[in-house]
Amino acid sequence: MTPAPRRRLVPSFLATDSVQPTRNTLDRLTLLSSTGMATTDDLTHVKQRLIELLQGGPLALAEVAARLVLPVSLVRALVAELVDSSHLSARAPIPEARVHDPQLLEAVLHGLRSIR
Amino acid sequence: MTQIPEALPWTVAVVMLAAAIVAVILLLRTRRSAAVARAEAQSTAQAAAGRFQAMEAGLRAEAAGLRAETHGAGLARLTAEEKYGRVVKEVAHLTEARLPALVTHLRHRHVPVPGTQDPSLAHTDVALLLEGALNQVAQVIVDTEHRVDEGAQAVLRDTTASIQAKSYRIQSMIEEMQFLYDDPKLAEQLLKLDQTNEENLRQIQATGVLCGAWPGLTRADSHLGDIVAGAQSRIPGYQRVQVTSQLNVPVGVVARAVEPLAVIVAELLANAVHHTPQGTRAVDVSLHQVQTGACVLIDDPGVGMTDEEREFAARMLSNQQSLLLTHLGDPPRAGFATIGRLVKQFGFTVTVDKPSAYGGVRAVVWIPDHLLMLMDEVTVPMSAMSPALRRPAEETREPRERETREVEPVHTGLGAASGSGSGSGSVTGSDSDAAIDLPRRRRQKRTTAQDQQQDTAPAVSAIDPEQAAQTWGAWHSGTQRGVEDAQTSDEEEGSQS
Repeated sequence: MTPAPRRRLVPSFLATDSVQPTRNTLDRLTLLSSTGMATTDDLTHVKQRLIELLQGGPLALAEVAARLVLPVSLVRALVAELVDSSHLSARAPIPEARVHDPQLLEAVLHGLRSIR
Repeated sequence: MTQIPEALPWTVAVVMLAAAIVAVILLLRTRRSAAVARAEAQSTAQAAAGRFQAMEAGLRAEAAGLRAETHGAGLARLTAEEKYGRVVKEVAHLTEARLPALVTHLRHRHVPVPGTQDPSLAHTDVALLLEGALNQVAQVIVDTEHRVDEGAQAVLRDTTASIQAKSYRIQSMIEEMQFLYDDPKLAEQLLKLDQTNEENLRQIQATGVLCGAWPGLTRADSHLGDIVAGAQSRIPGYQRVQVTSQLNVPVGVVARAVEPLAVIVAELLANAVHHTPQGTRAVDVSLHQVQTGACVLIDDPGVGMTDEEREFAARMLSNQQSLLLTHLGDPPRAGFATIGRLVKQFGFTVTVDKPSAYGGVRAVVWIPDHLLMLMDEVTVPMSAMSPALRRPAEETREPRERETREVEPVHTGLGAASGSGSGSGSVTGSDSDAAIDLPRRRRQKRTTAQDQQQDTAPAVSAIDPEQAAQTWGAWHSGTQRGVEDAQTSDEEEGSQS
């Protein structure tokens, strides 16, 4: 017998009452990391789980949503609340700024010119 | 029926007359024996006592004879017309008082059905026949009631089944949209839509089950925590429910019992929340493992139940006799009856007879061992909204983590950055803290203070400058050679043409 297709047992709306995020700076690629603040029992199960998930290292918001099997819109609201309570820190995924070697850049420029 | 009023009294009268004659004969005999005894025992005191006893016996016999005369010969002494009149009166009493009382009695058991009106007709054939008529009417009423109720239940079963199926389709559509669109305003609307649909679904499903339908959905084996969280989501006011798990291992419920258990818990929770005023303590739900199975405890701080309600609940939960919708009252109290149906079918035990610690009701759902199983958390992870297991720190996790650390020496700059930003001490602290040990992601190793000291130049080391120069050089020289080749072949073509 083939197993029946899994219909969700726990709906996602149980995670939060409101999906209106308290800040609009969060998008799918926002990088989230735990601030190391301990979880307390007054946090909902899903929030505890979210913080737990980020203890292994930072993750993108979309990735967190996928791992919790929740819609992004909902996770965004949750994350916004957790950032407000300083359990999480969020920032856009900007690569580390570095001073490039001018010689290398010149060599590349030279090489590109010589392709012509 | 027309012969009864005439023939029956006569028969009865004859029988009574015979009885009276026998009684009179007996009386005369006793009198004679009493006289003999009086003559024999005149001298002694004993004889006096005996005489007294005999006299008493005689008197008693006399009284009995008189009673028999008045009672038995009462009808016999009547004329046919009088008898006819009495029977007519009795039949009138049947139609005017006894039949309506019977109908009321069938609805409200405490209302008594009066007996015959005329004492002279009691225990006669007339009375028996009238009693038979009453019984037949009662049987017809009960049968009709059952037939009508079964018809109503069949209609409801059919309707709820199709509505339920459509509600599941709506649920799928809503869920699909929730994952497709991120807009907060749209998400808010979808959330409300989902909630309302879920409440609808619960009511429809419960009504179907009440009317003898199956719960309407087959699920796979599921975590007990997921089932309770799922049940919580189906009721209005689910925010006023607090679920905690006392389970040490991932206890699951076998597929066939998942949806019935969810329906049972949802009904109990709906009851608990309904009777818990807003602004008071939340309804407490806890999951426990017991020797013979598992338990779901639901404690509400509400108003509690009256004895009458308790008795009704116990009757519905035991559900011995066939259930009639008309017995549920108006508005129908369907919750316990619904649970009773499922309890009977699947072998759960539900009790609501204990008061809760908060003054309300404590409902206990006991799930027997044969409906339980141990879940594999890797293949079927528990939902994020379900209560986490309360188990001791796992020893096997640490070595595995160390292993991955050795295998994957890759360090991204992001990981190190977050570690240094948050303060290494707290991160190490949470590392050892495995009180709530849920499955964790192991893509990246955890950052510790020691690691940070070892890797002072992260990320940049991933690209080796030497190697990069070589690659670019090879690409450049290759391209240049290609360009030169193309130029020479162009020149050759040009010289040929």
